[in-house]
Amino acid sequence: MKRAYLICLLLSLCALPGCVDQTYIEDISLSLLLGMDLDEKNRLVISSTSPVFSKEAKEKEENTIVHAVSLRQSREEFDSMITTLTSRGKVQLLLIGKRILEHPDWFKLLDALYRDGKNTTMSRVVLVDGSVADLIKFKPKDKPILPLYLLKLIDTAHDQNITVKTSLQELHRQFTEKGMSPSFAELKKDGQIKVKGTALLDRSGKYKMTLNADQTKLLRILQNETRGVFPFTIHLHEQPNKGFFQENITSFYPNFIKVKIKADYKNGGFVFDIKIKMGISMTERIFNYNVRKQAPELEKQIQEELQNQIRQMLEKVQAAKIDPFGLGLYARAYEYSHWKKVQDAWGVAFSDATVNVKVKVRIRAMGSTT
Amino acid sequence: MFGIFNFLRRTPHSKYRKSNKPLASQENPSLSNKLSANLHYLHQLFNLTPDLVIRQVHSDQGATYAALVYLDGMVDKASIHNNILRELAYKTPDEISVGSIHKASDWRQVEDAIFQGNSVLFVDGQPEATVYGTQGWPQRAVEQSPVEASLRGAHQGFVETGSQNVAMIRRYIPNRELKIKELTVGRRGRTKISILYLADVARPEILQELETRIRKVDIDAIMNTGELAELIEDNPFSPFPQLILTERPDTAASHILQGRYIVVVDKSPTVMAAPAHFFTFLTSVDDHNSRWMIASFTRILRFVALFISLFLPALYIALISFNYEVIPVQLILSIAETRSRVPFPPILEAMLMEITIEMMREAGIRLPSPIGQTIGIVGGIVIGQAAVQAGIVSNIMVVVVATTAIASFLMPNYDMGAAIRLLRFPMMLLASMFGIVGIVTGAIALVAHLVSLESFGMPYGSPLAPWRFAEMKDMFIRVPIWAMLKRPKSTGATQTVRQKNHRGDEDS
Repeated sequence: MKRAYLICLLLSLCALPGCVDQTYIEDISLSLLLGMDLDEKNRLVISSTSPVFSKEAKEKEENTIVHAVSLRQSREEFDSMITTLTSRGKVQLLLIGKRILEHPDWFKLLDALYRDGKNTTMSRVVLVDGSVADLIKFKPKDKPILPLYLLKLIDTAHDQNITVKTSLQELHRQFTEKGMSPSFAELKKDGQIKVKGTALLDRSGKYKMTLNADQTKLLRILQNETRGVFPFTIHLHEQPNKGFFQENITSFYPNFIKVKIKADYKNGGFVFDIKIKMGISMTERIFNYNVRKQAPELEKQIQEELQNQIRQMLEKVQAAKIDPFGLGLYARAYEYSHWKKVQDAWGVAFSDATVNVKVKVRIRAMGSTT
Repeated sequence: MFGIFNFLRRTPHSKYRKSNKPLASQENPSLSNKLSANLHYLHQLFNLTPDLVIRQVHSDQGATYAALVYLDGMVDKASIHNNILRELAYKTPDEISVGSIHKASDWRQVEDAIFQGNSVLFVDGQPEATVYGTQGWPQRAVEQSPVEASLRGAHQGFVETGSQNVAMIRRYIPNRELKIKELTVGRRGRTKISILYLADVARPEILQELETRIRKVDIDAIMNTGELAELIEDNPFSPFPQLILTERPDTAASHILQGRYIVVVDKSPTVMAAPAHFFTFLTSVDDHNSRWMIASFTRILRFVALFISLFLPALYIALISFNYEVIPVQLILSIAETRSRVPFPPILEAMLMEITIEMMREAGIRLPSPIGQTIGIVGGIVIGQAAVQAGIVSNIMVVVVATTAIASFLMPNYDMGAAIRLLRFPMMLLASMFGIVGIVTGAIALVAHLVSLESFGMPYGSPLAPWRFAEMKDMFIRVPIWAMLKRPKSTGATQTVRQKNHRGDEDS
């Protein structure tokens, strides 16, 4: 009997896939960068960058650009061109050309990345302002290979909150969640590659607007994502500004940020009360000011400036009929009956909503000099 | 389950056991009261035994009235010359100033006594012989065991004389409850086996089992404790050692105090302790000798090393042939770059390196130390940078193999270390065939085997399986000694209190 068990146990090993799906690491063309774009004739262009491991090869990366009808179909095209097996299990960045975002419902093209378990959903989604092919061919001499360079660029920019880091998984949520609209990082190649900020899309996937670095920080705060550092540099208009150099500048970063969001429904529209509390450390102050004695006044000026900036951004975003902040989630949580009526057109409803933002700033450190 | 191995056991009538005269039926005549008859019989018994010395003692009249018989080299000559032979002139045989004197009346006793290094005095007219305890064979000095060196533990190791080993243990436990049961194993070897235990602590059923198993052993001779261990262990088809072998008296004594049985085998410098548990093999004397935080750190380190030395090469193979998605991208790039120069699949590469390092290890054991150092240097070149530059193995593989080797050196017990080293290879094979799934399957099989193992009726996986929370005090972390109030239950100790609480709870 025991022997029968043992034999059954051994036989059960046969059910395992075995060596069939074995691929040695050096036989894999590890696609680190995947690009999607439309060319002039509006044909789908898929591009891929993978590192080359051979010592003999002069170039350390291999760029392949193919025309394809879908992502999955492009793989066969790649396999017929690249020496080794294409693998998308380690795609670090998914670059999407701006021309694609001119058309709604492009999100469905990403289906293969979600459906096939061999693909990763951890890749960062990045919008490229310009041609993806151009960017992929870019080989800066003073930088590591492009995928790693872009990866570091996006990750550190995200740490500084000058852009957002949206993984494919997060993007899926943003597209399926009715209470918010998608947003991801935006790059531009202008000689140098530069992070432009955050691209905001509507729920169909069409490009709406771009938030610059400063606005992205505010976006992150309103999203209640307060990890990382938020270095602010602002102009205080109530301070003197008469010299050659702009004198009314101060820089600071918050030690902590607390965001409280309340949703309400009043007079036929949604009302959001957002209270932001932050304690700041000053890192630069070009004008003369006695912080020790007159801190509350300076705090007030900073508060107003920040409030202004947030208000301006909110107006623009609301005009675009999108909600990248995810305030719809609060609307659903607090005012479900009203939310239910507008849930399929939350963007429109949000554009009519009133958003009151109150910023409270406390100076906790004024730096090492007076 | 292992019916296929039955052929190993199918030798009930092997050649060496077919002696012409089976011992049991051998005639055992008693001594004659005539000296000449006795000496004649003695010559018959011990023909072709040139080291047998028969010293005839003459009376004043010149008549032979006594004969002293001993085996040259097995006796303490000083004692024979100074005490026995000198004093025989004016003392009766019973008055000789030798510690141990007893009488033998039949030839079996006489034979045994002579072979044990006693000297036997035959006196004319007496139908019995006097046996003097004059043992004195070549002996090694007591020195530290090289296999089980310790930092601060005692630096005494067992020697090849069983009685001395017993004495060394007794010095740690001078207690009347320390009992010794003596058995003899081996038809020709007649090896004396002593089972030491604390009568009021150790579980009697285990003693019974131990005794039965040792008594069942019917062999011509055993050379070493390891042989006996193999003859009596529970599951001979397990890679794990099921008896603790040690060369340290302090370790042995602490096992006794925990409720274990110590088996001292004469002529072997190793003793064995039973019952054993998997986790006892991961402890060392120094754990209880250094401060508890440091000892706990070492324990945890050892467990980490256990996993590294068991799974690391397998994991490496699995990751680079199946599950590369798990590796961080920067690491993938550097692994793939070094791997791209290697012409072998990862399993072959890993096997090559592992086998090389195992060979080096085996070579180092028996080489005299000056040559051993050379081996280290040569080996360093073989498994080091040169192999990488030659494109035989990859850089990362060298790191993996070296880490594994270092980790395997952390095992305090040689037998367990060897078992882990051996198990690494099936793990690697599984990993190369099934990836991480294979490793997990292997680990499951290993755990299943561990929990089903028993050592003298006590579960081998204890205290993890069965779970005994109180014994966690001396497992992954070693709590301060004053907090370990009880003996481990895993050993089946019947008297569990080890110490009274004299520190904690003083306020309450």
